[in-house]
Amino acid sequence: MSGKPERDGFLTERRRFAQAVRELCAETVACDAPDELFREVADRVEALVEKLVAEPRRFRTVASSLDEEIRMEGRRYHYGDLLDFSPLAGLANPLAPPMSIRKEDDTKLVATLVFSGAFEGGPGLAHGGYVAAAFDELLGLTQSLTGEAGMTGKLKVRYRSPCPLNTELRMEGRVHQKEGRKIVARGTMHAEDRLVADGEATFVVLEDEVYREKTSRFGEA
Amino acid sequence: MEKSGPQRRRLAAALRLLSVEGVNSDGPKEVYAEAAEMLEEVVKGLRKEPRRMRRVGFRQGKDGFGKREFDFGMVDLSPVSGLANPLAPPLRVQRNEEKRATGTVVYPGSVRTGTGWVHHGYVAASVDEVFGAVLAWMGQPIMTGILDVRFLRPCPVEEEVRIDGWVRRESGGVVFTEARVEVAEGPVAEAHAVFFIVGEDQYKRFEEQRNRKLVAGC
Repeated sequence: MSGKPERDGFLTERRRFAQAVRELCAETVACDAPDELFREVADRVEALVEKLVAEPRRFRTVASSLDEEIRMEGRRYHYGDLLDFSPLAGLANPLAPPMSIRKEDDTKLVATLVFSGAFEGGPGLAHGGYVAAAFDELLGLTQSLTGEAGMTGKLKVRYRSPCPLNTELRMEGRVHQKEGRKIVARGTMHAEDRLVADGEATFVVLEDEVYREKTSRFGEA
Repeated sequence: MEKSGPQRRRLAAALRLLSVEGVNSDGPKEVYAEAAEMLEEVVKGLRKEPRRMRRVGFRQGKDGFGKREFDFGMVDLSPVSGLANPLAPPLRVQRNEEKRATGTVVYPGSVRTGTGWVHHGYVAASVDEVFGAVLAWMGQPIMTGILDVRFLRPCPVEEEVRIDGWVRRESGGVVFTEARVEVAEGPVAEAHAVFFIVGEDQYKRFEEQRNRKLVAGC
């Protein structure tokens, strides 16, 4: 893609499309339809895949989306990729639950999310791995409030109580410490007043050159 | 025990590809609008179908997991390893010997982050899933207590990733596990975790609660 795409229409339709795929993913797991119906739907989805495969590829620089909610002045971030197409927070990524994130102050982010039945681990409960993934996402964005771009070096999640499906979960992430190239962020996840899990992650700040090298292989940096 | 139908798996595979295209393609907005409209209609149709009640069974099995035969909700519809779950990359898990398991996975472009590498949260989720298979030898439901992952290098998309997990020690109702994540270029991550035995009575309560909610439509 050359230049910036038209932002509003681009993201509106991509988000709507992602939401439709997300709901279909959830229904594939949740419903008990006859195999014949699944066959018909699979035929239509496969035809759609063929159609999209014929479209141009999306390069890394696309319009940003949530910068009205998080403005980090980051010289190295492409917010669209970090957020809108993120597999956890991204409204334009069908795999994402997704997460709604807002900045509360200079060191703290607050997020809400709902795990649908497609994320089921134990019966009626969200898979513990996706709970960890949500922490990685939120704490990763939290550490970037320092103005640096780091990659997860360590992630530790303590599960305090079962994580329910189809229930709004509230997460908080806060920058705990910044020392040299290391940033530590801590967070919690609650279902109503109940603590579901808490987590801590250590991020390693990348040098500009390293970041450019890592991202350049995926298109425009 | 009822198995998930082959067409559900086929649909899941197609949706997995569609999710990748939803992220990787860059067509005109009209293409996505038209597609969304079609998919929304399909969803409406599927919502008229009965809800899937989860089937649970812990019994002596012949599925390679040892003492415990997983119900299809735990395997075929798992969001990490389930062939019938479009969210799953999917991870393939094999139990090598008692107290050890290996998972292999090729992460699709849809789980890529802004840096172009696999989202570390997905790596953590896969490790958790491999630990679940490691602990299948116990024959009892378990839940994650602590998951601790140390990332050594970025994890590439569209390349095979191997996860080896094993039990380090067991003490009462608590099991301590370890794992190593590798790609061809070398190690990606190391992990350790603590799991608690839930007990079948507690597990059945979760199950009953889940099905009550489904019947109530929430």
